[in-house]
Amino acid sequence: MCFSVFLNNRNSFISIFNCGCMKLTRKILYFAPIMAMVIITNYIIDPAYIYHGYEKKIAGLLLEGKHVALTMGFTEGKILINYINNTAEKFDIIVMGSSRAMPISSSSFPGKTFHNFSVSSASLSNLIAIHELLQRNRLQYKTVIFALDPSLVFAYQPARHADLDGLYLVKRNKLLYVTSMAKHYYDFAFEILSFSYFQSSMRAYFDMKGPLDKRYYVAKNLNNNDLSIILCDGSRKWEKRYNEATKQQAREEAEKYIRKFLTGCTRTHLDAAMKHGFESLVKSLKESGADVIFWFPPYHPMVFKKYASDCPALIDAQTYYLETARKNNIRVYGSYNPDEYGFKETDFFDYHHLKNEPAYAHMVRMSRALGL
Amino acid sequence: MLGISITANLGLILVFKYAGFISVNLQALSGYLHISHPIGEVKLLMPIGISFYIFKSVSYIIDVYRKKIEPQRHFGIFALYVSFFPQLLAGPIERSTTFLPQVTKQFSYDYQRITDGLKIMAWGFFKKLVIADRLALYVDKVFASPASIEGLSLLLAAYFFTIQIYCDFSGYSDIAIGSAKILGYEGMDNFRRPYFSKTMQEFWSRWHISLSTWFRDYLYIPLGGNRVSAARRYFNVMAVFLLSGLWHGANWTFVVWGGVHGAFLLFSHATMPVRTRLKQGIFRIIGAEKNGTIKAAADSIMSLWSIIVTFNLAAFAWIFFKADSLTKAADFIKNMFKWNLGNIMVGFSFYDFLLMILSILMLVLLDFIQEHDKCRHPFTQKKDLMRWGLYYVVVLSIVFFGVFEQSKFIYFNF
Repeated sequence: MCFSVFLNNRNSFISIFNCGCMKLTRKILYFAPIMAMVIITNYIIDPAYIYHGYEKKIAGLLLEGKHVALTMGFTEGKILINYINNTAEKFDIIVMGSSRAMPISSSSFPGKTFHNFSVSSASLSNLIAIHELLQRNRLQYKTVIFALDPSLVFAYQPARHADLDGLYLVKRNKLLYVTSMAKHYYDFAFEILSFSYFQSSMRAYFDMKGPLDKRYYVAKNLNNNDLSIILCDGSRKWEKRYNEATKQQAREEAEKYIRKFLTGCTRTHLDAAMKHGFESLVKSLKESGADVIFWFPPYHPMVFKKYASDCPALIDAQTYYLETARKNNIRVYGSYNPDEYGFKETDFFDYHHLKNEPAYAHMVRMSRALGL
Repeated sequence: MLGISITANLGLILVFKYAGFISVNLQALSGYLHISHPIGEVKLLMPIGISFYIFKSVSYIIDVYRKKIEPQRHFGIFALYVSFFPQLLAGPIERSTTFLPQVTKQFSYDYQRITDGLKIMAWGFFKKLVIADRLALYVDKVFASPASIEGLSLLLAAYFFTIQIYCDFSGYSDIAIGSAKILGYEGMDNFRRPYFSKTMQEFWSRWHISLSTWFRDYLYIPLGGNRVSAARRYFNVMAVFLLSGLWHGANWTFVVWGGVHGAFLLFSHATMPVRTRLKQGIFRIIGAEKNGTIKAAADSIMSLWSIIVTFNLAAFAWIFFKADSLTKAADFIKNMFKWNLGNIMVGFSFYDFLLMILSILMLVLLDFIQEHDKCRHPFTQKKDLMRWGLYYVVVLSIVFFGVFEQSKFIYFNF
């Protein structure tokens, strides 16, 4: 019985190849124009920059001391890697952190060589990868401003920068590295056929503020910018609508965040393995001879209030960081609590990002306070 | 032996699906009565699709017992029946009497069968990706906080969910039936345009047919079916619907949903003579009994009215099905009747909203054509140009307007 079933199915399988299935193939080929449209659109618009190596060119412009305006999203990790691999500068001050540290610019530290190596939604592994890349390229830096997001020591870590994750994993977990690279190449090969990517391409095309062949350009005017600009010091000049966001707009973003992410945050907690990883990074930074400074980026007052009352993990993280700083003789500036350093609701454009001007003023005060 | 087999199967579903529900309710009850009970909250990971393959196993056991089918002595074939992959996660609950004979038949390449399967699958993908998942964006947003919304938005969300669940589940069924067909297996129809039903009874003969006929054949008829006293029959109907509700999920919302449907059926049955007399009275008054044209027009209007009423009753019941809790369902219903045009878009752009409405209109149009032409599928137009035009519209709609980030199929939860 078993064999006959196998035989029947095998015959069925073989018959597909022996049959005259040209008719079916021909009919399926009638849909080729649709697939061609998807492939061509995905390749040309390529909203996630999978098929076009723009990052190297952007890093090149930054190295030439130019500021770059971006009409679309881009792969931050790749720009950073390209920048680090091609610079030999000796830095007085560097910044490591997430997008919350991006507005920290050289203007707050006049006379110092400076670069901001922050990436959006930076995970601990991203920061470790950046530090290791700096070391591998023998780049020198005297002071590291380490912007501490609480999530660095939480169990859940966002995996947003495939290139940085690859750098991190290649030394630690070959299996995960191979898996992550396989996924990367799988995406490379198959996103071209993806309907979801096609829709992203269409959205990107209609959202794009500029012609298709001009996805990035050298920014001349830094004060009236409709686009986000990466300054040549690695910091970010937010687009005008962010810097001009009203108190009400920031409030709405804060309320949205509270509704969306703070629900169930009591389950978030500090993770022992992450704490260990963080302490290793701090140790490594100290061993490189740098003066490490912990900086706590503030939260929007409404969000901090909610965190303080409903989500102990935030305060736990700050307490842990302060304890680590004390043990390692590290100087600390800032607080998650905006009131402690006099931040107002109007200093934010969303639930936790400072506008450029308040960030600048805060860093000037920090520079004076810590004698940088 | 029959009892042992059925108990073993239903025991699995009881443990994995309902142990948590029972323990939570026991805790609540003991708290209310101020007595202690030793069982803590039970949390078990529910095997996906358990409700479907356990029902397949039970139907097989009973069919063997009733000598409708020979016992299957080959474990592999039996396992194939229970875990046939297109139907594993969310049905249809295929009967062994129709499935098992197909396993041993000789398969060969059949162009017509494969293209028919592909067409059914394409239509299923269209319903799921273009209609159900797009409507889900609106529905999920409104159902998340019904207490803070009033009026038309809630009414619209209830209607949208009525369409969403149909497209989600019948879309899945079409994909399952289509892929089984490509592999050479004919599956049973699971939906026959249920929202064109004129009564709730008819609705249940068109909605989730594999489940409703399962309950009819393996529960309702053994309980006595229609051959018992009226009171007993009403009890049987209510019991079947409450259990059918509970089958969908371990939550009181599903039990109430089943109960509401049971109540609709009982009410419909109890008032049938009155409604028939009322209809005859109206027909007499307007002279429909003597004039064929008036009768035809009156019949059409009555049919349309019955369809609208049945659709609205189903939509009302779906509120309990979708709501996370009875409190949320109560908030939803309470606020739905507060007349407030308010922000009907609930944050969606005009474009998003238009897409939702257009996708529903396309569904209604194609279902309407099917309902009246009685053809099995909208893709069976005779003219090549029409047929290929429709294929292209469907595929391009999926490419341009499909929602690919949305969650899994609703019935995967059961």
